[in-house]
Amino acid sequence: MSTGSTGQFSLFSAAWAILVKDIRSEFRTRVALNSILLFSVTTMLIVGFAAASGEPPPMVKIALFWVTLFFAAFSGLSHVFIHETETGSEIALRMAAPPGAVLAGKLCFNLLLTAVIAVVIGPLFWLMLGLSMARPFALIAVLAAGAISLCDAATIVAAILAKAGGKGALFGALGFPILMPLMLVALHATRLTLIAEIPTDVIAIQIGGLLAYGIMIIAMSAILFPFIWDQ
Amino acid sequence: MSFMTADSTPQNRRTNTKLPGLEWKLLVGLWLCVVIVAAFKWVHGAFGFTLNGNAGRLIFFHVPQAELTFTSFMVATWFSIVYLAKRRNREVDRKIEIAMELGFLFCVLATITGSMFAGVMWGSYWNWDPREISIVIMLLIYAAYLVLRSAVVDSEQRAMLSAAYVLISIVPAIFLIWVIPRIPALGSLHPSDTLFSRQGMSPRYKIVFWSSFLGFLGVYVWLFQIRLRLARLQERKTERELIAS
Repeated sequence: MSTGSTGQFSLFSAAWAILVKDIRSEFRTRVALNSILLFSVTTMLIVGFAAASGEPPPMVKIALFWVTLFFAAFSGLSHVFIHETETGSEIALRMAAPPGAVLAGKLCFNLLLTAVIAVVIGPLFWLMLGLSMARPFALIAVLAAGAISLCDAATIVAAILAKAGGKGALFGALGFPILMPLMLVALHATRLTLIAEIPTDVIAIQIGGLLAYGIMIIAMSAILFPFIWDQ
Repeated sequence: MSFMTADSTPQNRRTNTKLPGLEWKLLVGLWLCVVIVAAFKWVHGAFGFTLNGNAGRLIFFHVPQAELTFTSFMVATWFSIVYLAKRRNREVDRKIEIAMELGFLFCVLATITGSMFAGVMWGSYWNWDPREISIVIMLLIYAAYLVLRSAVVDSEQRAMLSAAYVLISIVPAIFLIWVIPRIPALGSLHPSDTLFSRQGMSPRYKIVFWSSFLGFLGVYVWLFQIRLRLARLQERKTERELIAS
């Protein structure tokens, strides 16, 4: 299969078509969105309840936030490929679009989903745990960069997982090691945004690191996805 | 080295009871004995280390293990590229698996010896030093790979997916091995470039260290061969059982 175009579709329009198709089928059932939101809210209630009985250090609160986001994202983002395998539409999709377009479409869908999760649970978490907002714009930038890279890694792991038989427990096992370096940088960077005296360029380096990690994962995914997909 | 083609022994020569490459294996054993004696007798205690400088002797064993974890990951990466790009055969897949298994083994060893050293030198068996974090995550990567292999039933699919997983985990591995330990803000307790700088170690330390590394490399190749032979025998056995049944 050629990488540039297949018949009438260019790479971009094929990716766009897949994105629209996924959004439409998601709105039909709202499985991914509902399960993610329910999971996040449940986790947040427990965390908020625990935090109310004593004051944990900010780093612990931040860690709780990222762990919640991690598991929320992973429980929902694995859906995109497993869904195709379960409904048996995988072969049709493979014939209709080049692998690059499939990856791009699915990645965009996951990015949207991650954005929704982050927008919902981010403010709630900050309110519930009483975290400070010394540098709101830096904080938003760090959260965005971290969530984007998290989503990139989750997407390619989801592709592997769908081929491995969609076993749920495997997702955390495979995804966690790949995301650990990212989580460490994200924790550190989020901590920095809570302190007003930290200069902007220090935080900017961290954001750059987070984005670079995501870009490396995307580059690797683009190379490997055809092998995983065309099996 | 016969590392890549160890099984080219034809059927008729298998009656020969002598193990292949016995000479160099004896040499590796002897070599490591000399290294161990030199590490404890020939080298003086290092200034700045506790237990009269004796704690410093650990680097002769700990650092080669850590380097071998890394080397083993590179071996697995290389064979994964070969697998995906050119040769989709079971032999290459087996080599990836063995490299990852041995990487896991040396990763465990490096973690244990490192923790012992941290206990003696820095007062706590675990300090959340960047390198300590790195090696634990490397351990997770190796474990995740082995879990993935055990989860997929179909052998061709298993080979393909696990090779892809190795290549994706290059990204965290690069971060863990090169980037995170060198971020000054994280304040590693480990020195960053003692091995190659001129002032880092005394000549005796350097000689023993690199000899030890060579010895460990010999053990690695040896283990690799044994594991490869074992895997082939197992496969031959299952094939024979299939034919019989």
